[in-house]
Amino acid sequence: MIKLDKLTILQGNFSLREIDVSIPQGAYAILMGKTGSGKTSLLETICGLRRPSSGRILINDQDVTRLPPSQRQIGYVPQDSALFPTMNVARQIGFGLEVRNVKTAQRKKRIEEVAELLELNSLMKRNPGGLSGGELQRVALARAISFRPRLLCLDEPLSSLDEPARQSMIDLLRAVHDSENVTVLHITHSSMECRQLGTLQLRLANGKVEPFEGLV
Amino acid sequence: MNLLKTSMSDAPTSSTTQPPPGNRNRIFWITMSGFGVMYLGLIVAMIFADYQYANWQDFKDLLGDPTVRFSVWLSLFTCTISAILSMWVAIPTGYVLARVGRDAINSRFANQPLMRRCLRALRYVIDTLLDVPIVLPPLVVGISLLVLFQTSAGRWLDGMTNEVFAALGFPGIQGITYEIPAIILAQFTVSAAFAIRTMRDTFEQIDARPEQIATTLGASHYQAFSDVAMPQARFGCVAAFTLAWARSLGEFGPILIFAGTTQMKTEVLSTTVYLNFQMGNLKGAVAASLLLLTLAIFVLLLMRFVALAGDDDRGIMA
Amino acid sequence: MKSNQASVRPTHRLGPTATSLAIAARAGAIPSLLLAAIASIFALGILGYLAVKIRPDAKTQKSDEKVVRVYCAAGVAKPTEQIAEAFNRLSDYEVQIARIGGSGELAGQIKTEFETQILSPAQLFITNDQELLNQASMIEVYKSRHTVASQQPAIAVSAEANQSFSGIGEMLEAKMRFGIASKRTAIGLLGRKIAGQQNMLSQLEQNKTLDAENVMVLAQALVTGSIDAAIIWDTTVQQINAQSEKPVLKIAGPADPTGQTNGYVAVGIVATSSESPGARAFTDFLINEESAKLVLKRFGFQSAIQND
Repeated sequence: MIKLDKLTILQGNFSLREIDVSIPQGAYAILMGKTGSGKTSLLETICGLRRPSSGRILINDQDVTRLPPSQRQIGYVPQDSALFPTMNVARQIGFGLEVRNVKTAQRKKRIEEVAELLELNSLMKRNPGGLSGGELQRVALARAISFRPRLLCLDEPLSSLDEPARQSMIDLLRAVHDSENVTVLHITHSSMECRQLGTLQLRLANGKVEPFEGLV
Repeated sequence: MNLLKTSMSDAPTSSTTQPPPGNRNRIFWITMSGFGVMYLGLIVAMIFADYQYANWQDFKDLLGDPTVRFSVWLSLFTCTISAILSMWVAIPTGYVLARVGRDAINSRFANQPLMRRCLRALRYVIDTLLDVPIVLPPLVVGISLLVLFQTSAGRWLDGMTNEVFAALGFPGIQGITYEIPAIILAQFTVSAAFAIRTMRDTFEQIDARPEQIATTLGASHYQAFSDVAMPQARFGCVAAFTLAWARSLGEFGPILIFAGTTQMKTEVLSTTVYLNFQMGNLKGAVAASLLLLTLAIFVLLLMRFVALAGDDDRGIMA
Repeated sequence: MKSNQASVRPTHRLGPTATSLAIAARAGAIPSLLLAAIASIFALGILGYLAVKIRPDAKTQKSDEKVVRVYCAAGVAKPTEQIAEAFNRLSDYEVQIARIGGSGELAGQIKTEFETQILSPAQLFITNDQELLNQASMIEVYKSRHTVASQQPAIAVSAEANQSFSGIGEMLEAKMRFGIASKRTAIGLLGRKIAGQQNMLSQLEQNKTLDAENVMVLAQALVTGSIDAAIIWDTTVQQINAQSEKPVLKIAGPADPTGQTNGYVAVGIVATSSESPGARAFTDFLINEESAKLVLKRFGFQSAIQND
């Protein structure tokens, strides 16, 4: 279970004050919000890339507010994918395992498993340089789930994709959620994604998080 | 120039009032390249004049002299050492400077304006200080080093170095001042500043985002640096190393003052040029210059080809 | 939930550094940087060893009293080198010509060394310009001063030229491109003094093409053909000619028509904290030894008996 307890983020041009959210284990939470409402900052704070001004972040009742990102066990898929330019796809996927010193055989098995799930088998030897937007997102997603994180944070994973790619990505996200049994926090500005994927639907507005009651 | 005039005068006779775009583009590129070509011409002409002035016999005479051979080897050893030392300082320093830049300070201390200002001012001061060896006249670097090693701490270090060399079986190397370590220190002082600048620019060009993501994946900051940032910085490293090496090879003023010019002791190739010139042996000076030049060009080319081989994207550009 | 983590990171924080290194090595990860770092340390060691190894005197224990550090004016460098070589063969002491340069530049450095009490300073200064030793600000720097030889200001031209002059006046009339040395040098001052005696100083200053920092820079300008004539020491011409197969410069005449103007090469023993018997021994050798006199004579220096 992920719990944000009176989390306050003050940034130069906007602020999120005393956010209280609770996401149950295994849920697919979708947080809707307009561009510039601080969605990305919220995700980065949860991942540990940004410091909150006050409040706490709890994962399974463990306070991770002060933990460095590397010890939080959170998979993060940023909007720009931010793949490692000098690594091939296979190594990117295995990176989270490599830094945890997982044995090569075990790591190989897991990389193949994840690649299978996200249909990346044919790209394993390629560097991110020549990949399409959808492929980049899939690699970033594979990289974030390979080490079995406690929480998967997705920042607008569909926004840069065209229509057919978007539909297949939605299917993949659903497949990942089902087979990996991971808690997901997905932020977006599209209510369509919200309806299709979310088991828990939230909305960020006026610096507060509230249940999304649009078209349930 | 001729081409430019021709096309300008041709313009009115053609059906359009302006020269065709292809023609205009050509003028643009020729004009733009012209300045570079002139400068390139100057460099080539200088090298050519040197070769004209000194003949093959001067070259052989020079290399036949054991003191000159000594200075060539000493130059090669010391400037490689200086370049490696420079990289040891430049890679971490350049990384820190690039990652703790203005943007990082601004976002980290977004809500503490005073702290933000102070840190930005501090950063500015640090940048300026790191540029001091670049802007300082070389003689000043030498004098400053000489004076530094006359302080009590400097003397202590001098004495310690002497003892270390004696313990290693080289009692002939007497400390730092006027000795081989002085050459390396003089070269390093200047070349490190150039290497730091290059590495800072390199890391600033590299997006910090993948490194942040790497930490969310479980990597330590060291792993993010070594696995994600460094592989992207390899061209910058080659550039910084060659720059530091070349600076060290050409270093002269500080060496003259801080290391002296004793033959078979602290004479490096740049000092050989100076000594030959000072003693009225212009041919010898030119031949030594050519040797310096040939070595520099050879090593720079070699570095670029070897270090960047197999990379089609960047070619031989470092 | 704890067990869930444990399953994917069984060796995390458990394996010793060696194991994690080996694992990372197989992945081709960390080592590239680590290896480069280790390799560079080895390279430093090897290069450092080589740099020291090529020094012929690196392994010999030298007591400081045996080494004589000499700073030598460029204009006297060639004969001094030869004399020092002879001296080193005959004596226990080892003369090292540590610096060669313009007299003024070296005098300045010696003064700095004296004032900062540097550990291994110059012990002997051989200068083209005796006046530098006698200046008021230099009095305390030198223990004693000795004149070694004399030389004369001359008008030098390219060896192929066929002019000859009786003095500065004729050179000025010839309307050539000529150069003089700066006022900071002995030759520069002497040249101006001679011109002043003949009321031609302003003409000299106005028509000069080059005002060179020291006499060697001036001589080199003449060798390359940047100027046609120069007022330099007669000995400078000899020194330059000695270094090529055939003469490149020649003396077209004395600067002073009367031939009465001389410059003096002198030795100053620096007042260092440690006694330097070697410095005194070399000074004696330089002034009194017949072979030394012969070398100086070969380079055109005249003996000067003028000790103070």
